[in-house]
Amino acid sequence: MTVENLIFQGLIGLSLAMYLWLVSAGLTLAFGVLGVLNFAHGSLYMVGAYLAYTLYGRLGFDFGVSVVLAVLTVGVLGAVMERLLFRPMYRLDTAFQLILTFGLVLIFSDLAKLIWGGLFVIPPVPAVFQGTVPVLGRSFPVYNIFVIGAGILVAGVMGLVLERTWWGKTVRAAAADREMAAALGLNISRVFVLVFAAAAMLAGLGGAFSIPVRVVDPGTGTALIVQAFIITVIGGLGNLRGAFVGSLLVGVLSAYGTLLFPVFELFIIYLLMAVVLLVKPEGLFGR
Amino acid sequence: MAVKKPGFRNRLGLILGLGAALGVLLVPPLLGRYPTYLATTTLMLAVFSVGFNLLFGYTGLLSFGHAAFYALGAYVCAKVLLAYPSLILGLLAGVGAAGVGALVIGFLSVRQTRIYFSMLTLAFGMMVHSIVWKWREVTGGDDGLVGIVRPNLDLGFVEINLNRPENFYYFTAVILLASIFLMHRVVNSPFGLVLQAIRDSETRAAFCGIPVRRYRLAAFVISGLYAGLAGSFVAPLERAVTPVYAHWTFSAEPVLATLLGGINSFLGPVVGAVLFRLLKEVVVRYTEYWQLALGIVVVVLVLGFRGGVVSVVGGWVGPWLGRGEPRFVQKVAPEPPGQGAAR
Amino acid sequence: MKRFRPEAEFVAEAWAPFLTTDFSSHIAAVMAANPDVIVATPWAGEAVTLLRQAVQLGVFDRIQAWWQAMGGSVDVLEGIKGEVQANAFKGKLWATARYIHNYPDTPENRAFVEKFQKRWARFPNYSAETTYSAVYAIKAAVEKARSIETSKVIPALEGLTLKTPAGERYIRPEDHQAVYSVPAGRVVMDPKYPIPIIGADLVILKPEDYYRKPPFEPVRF
Repeated sequence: MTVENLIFQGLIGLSLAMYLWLVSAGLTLAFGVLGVLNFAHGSLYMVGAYLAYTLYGRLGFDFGVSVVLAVLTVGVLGAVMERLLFRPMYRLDTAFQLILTFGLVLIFSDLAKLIWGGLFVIPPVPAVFQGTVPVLGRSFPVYNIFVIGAGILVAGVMGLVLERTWWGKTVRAAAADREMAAALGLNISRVFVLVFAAAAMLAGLGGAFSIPVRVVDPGTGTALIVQAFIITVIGGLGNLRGAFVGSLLVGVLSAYGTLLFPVFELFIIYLLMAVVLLVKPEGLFGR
Repeated sequence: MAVKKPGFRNRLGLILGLGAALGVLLVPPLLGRYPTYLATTTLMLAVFSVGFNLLFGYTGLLSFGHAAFYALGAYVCAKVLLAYPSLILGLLAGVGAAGVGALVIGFLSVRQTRIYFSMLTLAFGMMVHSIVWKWREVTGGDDGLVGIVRPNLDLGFVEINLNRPENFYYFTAVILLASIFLMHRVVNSPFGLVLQAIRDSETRAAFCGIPVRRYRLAAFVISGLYAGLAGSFVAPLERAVTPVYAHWTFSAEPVLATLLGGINSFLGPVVGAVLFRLLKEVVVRYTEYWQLALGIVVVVLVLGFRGGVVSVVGGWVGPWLGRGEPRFVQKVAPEPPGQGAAR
Repeated sequence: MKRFRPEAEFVAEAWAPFLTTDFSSHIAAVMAANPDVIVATPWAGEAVTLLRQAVQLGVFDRIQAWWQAMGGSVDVLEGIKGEVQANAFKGKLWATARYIHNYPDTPENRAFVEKFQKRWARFPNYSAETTYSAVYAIKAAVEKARSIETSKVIPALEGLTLKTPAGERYIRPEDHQAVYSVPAGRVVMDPKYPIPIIGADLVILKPEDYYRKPPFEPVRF
């Protein structure tokens, strides 16, 4: 086990982490502001992937255009979901919210099967992203570098928006104390719709980015959501910084797990989540 | 309400009960082999759900990891049957193993509530799943354990051949009946009332001097025992056990069945198990998109009919019986306001 | 493998459960050991993802051969078409499948493929062929036993030989396995077909070479 191999595996873990970050960011944002733990967030990733596939792989749009259009569409879908399905749920116990969003997972999965068929789909890799760069004597895919860069960019932009802009302050206020913010004159319903649309777009972005390198099929959302749950819990529900660190942790740990502890890599992640929940349930960055 | 009102209501209940019993009895001769098999699995789901609802409906805790105990029951019973063909021993071992598992996991999980509890049980459930999946030497890994025998039921004075599907079915029905009876005693005892008090207001219960965590743990273990009992039946029924029984998507089955039937009613889980199975089987005859149908049903139920089918039907039948509108009390208490800040 | 190449050494192993969407860490872990040959068992969508990500990671520049079990399945071949056309596998991808539509070149197979294509506009996958042959196997057994009772059909199936699209199948009486020869070879583009096929360096694996024979040790854990 050479140092180069260890660093290389870490870089692989970093690229894995970015997809997880995009889904977890949306999930934790939705929980922090709306108070809803959305089981169906992995399904939004799946919808983003399917839409990008259709636009780029079937209709021949440019890859960048396909990603943008797919993300915007998922945003609209998110807004509709919030309006129609989440609004009646806010006064209910979280148990019912979990059950309802689980029902949505089933619906999305079968709708995907209905529209795109039960078989997996994958488009060709865009020419600009083919190829590798030599890193530490091994070949690292160009596309992974792009994804890592995009993920960090998203994290940076979100951090800036939330900390420095008026809009960010509004969102943080609504998250901290909904009633007080409403009493101060904020239009809470508008904030909720827009925040959830943004959360959905993040997941959709992750999905759209994934299509050149991963197949999509109706089961894609289900596998991802458990990992996203783990990350948001580890980082602290509602905490974006926590979700970013959590994604890095889970992504890199599972990469190292595969290299160094091949039998246990699944178990390690669940154990980590259980330990955090038992010792510091608010999460590593929670208040 | 624990008070029994005499008269017409009880008589109607008796008639419904006899009707249901007759329906259960007539499945094998009237419907044949495959429906008998389906009905057997439905009875197992009913046992699972009845136990599950003690934790969910009566104590207010939603666990997404109960499949772990179901799987523990299935695998331990399987190992026993592979070594020594005694059904009673296998069932007892399965239930026992599930109970021990529930004690350990429950002890760690009931320290948290609400969402954190659900997430913890999900994590533990999936840990059990990954152990079952990876530990090939003991559990057979993703191949599972196969070649399990279905021994005759040796009661001492009589030996029943369970290889005949109808015999196995009736045996399962008897076990379900016993489980329901037992749960009825539990729920209508002071213990059951304390659980509901904890569900409705944890702080108030604590101030009354109730050791909340201990009661929650007890409820958790009992529901785990029921899950283990249901799971133990898988080994002789299917003659094979696989890791799917430990996956969180399988944990969702009693959740959905209970929701469908009604979390507020005692027999809701049983009704729900039957409806859930019927829904799946009937829908599948017309379209392959049964998940879509189930998902829509779930959404509609949560938004409109949280009391499940039992409360809906009760709402229709109640006035006809002259009892007025049944009060639907939302038995799972609302979340206190104010959540984490997005940072 | 030890039987044919005793000097072969297993240097690394990676295991991914079902529903894995990203194999890069597994591929990277295996490549850290500098293997010459990789044997992979994921199938369907996971095979396509695995192969695509392996190409991305430059695996096919370093290894000598990649053996993909069930790589000859039609859905996998369709999924990797782009890569095969671009020669991304550099001729190093070998695969097998329970049935491939271009072998054997018998009248039964040709007829089956033609009818299937007319009906579904796709090439038949091994699951289609196996199901098709299974139905005909039952038909043959029922005709031989002159009865549809299970207890009479079972002995009729034992020892049955069938000419199926996949070749001749023989149902062994000792364990009821239907044995037949399985093709394997390099994955290439052939001008006759729109999708890649297992078409070059075809090797036919006879059942004697790969099927276990009874008496079997019962599986005990």
